[in-house]
Amino acid sequence: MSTVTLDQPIAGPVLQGSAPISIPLLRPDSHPYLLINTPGERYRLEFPIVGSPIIEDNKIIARFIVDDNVYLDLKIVGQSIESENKFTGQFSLFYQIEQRRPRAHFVADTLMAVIGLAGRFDLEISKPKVSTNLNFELQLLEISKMLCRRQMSYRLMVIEKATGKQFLLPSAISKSEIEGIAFVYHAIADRSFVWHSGKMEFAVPATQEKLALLLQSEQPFNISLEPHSFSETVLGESISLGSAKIVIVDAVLRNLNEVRRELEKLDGRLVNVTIESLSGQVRYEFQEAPCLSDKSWEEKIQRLIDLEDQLDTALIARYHALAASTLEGLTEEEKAEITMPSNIGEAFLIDDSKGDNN
Amino acid sequence: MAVGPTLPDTSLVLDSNILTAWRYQKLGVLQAIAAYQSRLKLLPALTSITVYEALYGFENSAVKSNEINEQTKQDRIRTEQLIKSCDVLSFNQASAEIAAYIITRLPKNIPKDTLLDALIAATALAHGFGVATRDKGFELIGKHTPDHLILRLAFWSP
Repeated sequence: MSTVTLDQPIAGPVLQGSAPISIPLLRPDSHPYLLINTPGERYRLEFPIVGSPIIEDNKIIARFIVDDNVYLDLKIVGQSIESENKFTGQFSLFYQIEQRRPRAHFVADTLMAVIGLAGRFDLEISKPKVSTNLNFELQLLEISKMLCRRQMSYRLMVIEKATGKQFLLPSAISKSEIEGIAFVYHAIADRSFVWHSGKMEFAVPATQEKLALLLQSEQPFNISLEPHSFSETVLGESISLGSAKIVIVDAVLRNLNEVRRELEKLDGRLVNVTIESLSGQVRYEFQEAPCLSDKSWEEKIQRLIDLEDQLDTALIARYHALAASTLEGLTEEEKAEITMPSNIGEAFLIDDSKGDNN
Repeated sequence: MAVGPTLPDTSLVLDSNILTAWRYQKLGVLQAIAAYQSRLKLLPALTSITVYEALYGFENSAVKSNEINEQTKQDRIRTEQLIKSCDVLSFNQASAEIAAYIITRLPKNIPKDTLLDALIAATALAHGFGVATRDKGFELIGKHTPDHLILRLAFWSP
């Protein structure tokens, strides 16, 4: 029995203008800016154009710099109306990252999530001085995926800072790689945490002490293993996490009879033990994992990190509102009817005349 | 064949009763979903079985009354939007194999809802997810999973 999990692409969405827009005809000296309001309109982020806009008959392309390596490309396709001195058309906005560093992805996904939640951004032009709103709608699922990628990029930034290593993100990432990043992040940031686990195999000497420890406890039990060294591979880089104490919660010995037989020989030989946590929980305590000696970030990055709660709050409010709208305007009876559990289970009901199978 | 608690990084699917409580804006569920999103950034997923259950109500209402009013039509469109805004885990071959294992081992006098719950649990297990529910019947299902699989459950109170 196996499950195939496709790698998740790491790419930003394209924001498409949902309604025609009309902007003044840009000139090479127009110096447009992109302006983005953070949730709650707490402050505005301003991004200047790189070079001059490319202006052709039916399209305008402008590239705005957001951070080292990160650009937002605004493309407007339509037509210029010379008599009215304006350009009308549809727009799209997408980000470009030159070097796929975690910081670049963190910045890009934070900004795209901000824009996605605001549902608009502004284009300000210095000559002629004009400010225009560009509105669009982005799927909530797309925004939550941005926040998910943002979290992964942030965790990689923390790992980089603590270990001195540098990562480049691949174009797609597997679930196990994402889990590896989370594990190393928790080891560095939290030090002590509970992680899911299957079986653990190790060898113990056949001594009186081990016999007493492993065989006289009533199963399941919690067992501490002697600290041993851990390392984990993150995006192809091996990260040493130092020695960790491990506690297997709800542990049972899978090869109990064999272990008992071998340990009872008390001859000091190594005996292979297979321990499994019935509830799939292992507590790790890392005392020697790399530390974040300097927890401060550059001001620009810190401001984006600090947006996390606002982004979460804005996203969850949209989801809750959407969930509420599915029963909007209905009477209590109508609500009860359309949320009534289905009775398809009846089709599965098994004749109980031969008694309980339990 | 085990039940385990959800861990901070465990991805969850919503059982149908939690999806319904979310649509009713039950405070406990709103808070639990917000706390989950704050940890994992994604919203809990749905299973294709839960999608079936969410749409069943609209179809059942339409069949019974022969017509459906404008408000209900709008609410169905929004329900479809909500579904589209969540990851939906399909009932695939791995889910089918797990479901066959579980359902054949369940006691025969179980409540009928447990069978649909078993399909939800099998889908969650096949995709490496836990289940957010308020239904203790999932503990019974968890006792009948294949050997290597632990059904992680989060019990959310509306």
